[in-house]
Amino acid sequence: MDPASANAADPQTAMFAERGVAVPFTTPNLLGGRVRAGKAGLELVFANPSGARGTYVVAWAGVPDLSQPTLHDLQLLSVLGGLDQGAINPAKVRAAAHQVALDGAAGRQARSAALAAEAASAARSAATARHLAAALASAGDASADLPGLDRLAGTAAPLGFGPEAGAALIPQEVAALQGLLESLLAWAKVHADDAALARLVAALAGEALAAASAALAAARHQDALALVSAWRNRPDQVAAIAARPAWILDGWRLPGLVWADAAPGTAAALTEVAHLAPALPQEAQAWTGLASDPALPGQLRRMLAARVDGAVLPSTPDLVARNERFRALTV
Amino acid sequence: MNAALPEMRRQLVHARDEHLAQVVALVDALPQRGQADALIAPLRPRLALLAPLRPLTPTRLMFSPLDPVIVAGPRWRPGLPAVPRTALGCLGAAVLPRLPASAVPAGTAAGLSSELAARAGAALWPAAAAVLDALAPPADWGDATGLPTACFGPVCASIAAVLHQAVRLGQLAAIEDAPGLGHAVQAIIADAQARPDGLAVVLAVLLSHGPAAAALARGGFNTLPPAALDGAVEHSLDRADHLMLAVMPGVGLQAATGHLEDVAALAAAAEHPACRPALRAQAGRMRQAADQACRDRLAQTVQQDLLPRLAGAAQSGNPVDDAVVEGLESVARGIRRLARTGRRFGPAAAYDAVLARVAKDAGTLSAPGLTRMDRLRLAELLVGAEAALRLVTDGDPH
Repeated sequence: MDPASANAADPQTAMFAERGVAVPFTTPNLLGGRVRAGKAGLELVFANPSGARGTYVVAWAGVPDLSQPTLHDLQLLSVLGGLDQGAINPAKVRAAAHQVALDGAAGRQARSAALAAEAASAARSAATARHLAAALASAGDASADLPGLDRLAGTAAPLGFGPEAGAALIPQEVAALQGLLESLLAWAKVHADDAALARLVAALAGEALAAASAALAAARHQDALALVSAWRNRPDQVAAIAARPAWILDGWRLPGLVWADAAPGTAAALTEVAHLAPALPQEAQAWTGLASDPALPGQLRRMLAARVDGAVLPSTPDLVARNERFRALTV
Repeated sequence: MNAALPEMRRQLVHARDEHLAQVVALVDALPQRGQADALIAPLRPRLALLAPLRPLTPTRLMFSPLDPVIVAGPRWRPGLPAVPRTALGCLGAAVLPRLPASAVPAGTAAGLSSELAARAGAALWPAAAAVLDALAPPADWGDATGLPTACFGPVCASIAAVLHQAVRLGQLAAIEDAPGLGHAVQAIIADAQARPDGLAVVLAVLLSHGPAAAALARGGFNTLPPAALDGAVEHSLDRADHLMLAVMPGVGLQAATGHLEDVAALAAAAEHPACRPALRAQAGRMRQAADQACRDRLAQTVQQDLLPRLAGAAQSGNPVDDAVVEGLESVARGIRRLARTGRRFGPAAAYDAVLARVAKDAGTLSAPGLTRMDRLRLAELLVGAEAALRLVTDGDPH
């Protein structure tokens, strides 16, 4: 295994593709693992299973031998392993995980949630298409039946357009991250012993939040008409910009869920959250113009180094059940 | 005595956990408990394992940190690291009027979790301990307890010792990392040693909580006075043995497994070289009894809970719905956890054999609406993913 960098506890990565995409595993020692395209195929980047600091890279095919994965994760490894390497991005990983949840591998609750999410996603895409078409029609644009409008709607729907924009995927994730940040800061006020770590994680969350908000504003363009206009001229660029908020937010839902599950918060949960908190790659600055503090990951690493030894995790079946509940909340 | 009382007691002994909790809540809500108190008296050990949320009067909240060391009045004797239940009423009546009003929370009918109780008791316990430190024997001490006045001092000192540590004791359950728990336990011990008369009872409270018992043993029994350590370990072993053999068979799987996990930690602590040989031998015997209790409970759960559920699913004319599948999975998780606990007492092979047999039944179950993935997951919960895949692939009827 080669040392690598993926989480905030390690030095900042340069590119998002190098950081990889968070995979919603349910196996406790794979939690927080990321998939990325390597020179010889897909790779898993994950935290040291001993609990010590540092992250490692494993060839995708070697993961089952390493971690005794759950059925859910065996399926997910298989589906992701079948993807084209160039297709590894948050949306593809999300779709793969959705497919596995629909099969019932994370339990009936996650399957029901996946079915509901599928219907909601289709409805949001349709609503976005209607919103774009209405905007074109009201502007007297005769091309309201623009070929590819559905594809644009599918690309733009997660960003949130129209009267129910706040219910879309990315605004929901922004709100969840905002909630985590506020909860950590509130907790820090009454837990002096762990306040520094809580504030450090909150600072990382704040950087991601600012970058995601800026990327979201850029991806939405000024309005629906500007978006359609850009799509007509540069569809690939529009799609790439629309994907940026998801890249920036990628990996933050899990620490948010861990923290919420431990409400009103414990020191052990804070340690887990800090381990899972993703560092923002330098590429984010090129996307948003916002600089992140390169010292934060190192500070977090040093603080965590003093806490991890002897950490006790809940018993494995309970932890798998918890992680399956997380799947039901995020499919 | 009401003639119906014995029959009601008999029915309660056999009541399911949730029904028992409802009855206790009704009794707790009575303004005058009278004979109703006698109704639940035989159930107290079982309630100790179930720990239902109960309305807390100021007196009950005040003495709640002592729960693991409270014994029936006639069982108490001088030197035992325990507190006679008969003393609590008269001591509560003597202490409460002497407390500042700000230290006494109003009773709550809704019941409190241990975390909320710890919060509500944060002002009460230290204040009550300070009152007990200077309290003279109440006038009704002899009538209430049946004990001579000479026993007042040791009983009072034991209660005060625990209440002085109660805030810290209440925080232990929330500490999940081993070093943090070790530090917290050592801080309690260091402080409790300043009151030697009550040290044994504080140790007994710590030993009743599995993670704290393990932390206590790791932290070094060698520094403790042998008499206090041996007394606390002996009381804890006796109590755990009684709960395991007499009470545990009547409680649900989750509470039973939780107690067995505490027993495993206690047995490991009692086998520490600092404990006297007779106690180490007693711990060894308790291990054997716990192994047998785990096997019995495993067989009982499989026979009386899981297999009937599986048969019910197979024979029902209706498609299996989410609730049925989730119920089966919950039982399977409970069985796996119990088997994992059992391996701490006896050979793993015996437990693995039961799990493999049950996983085969679950993995090859045919029922309307039950998918291959449902069967795979049930088997996975019992024997792990790879074994489940082999089992269901080999025995797949479809």
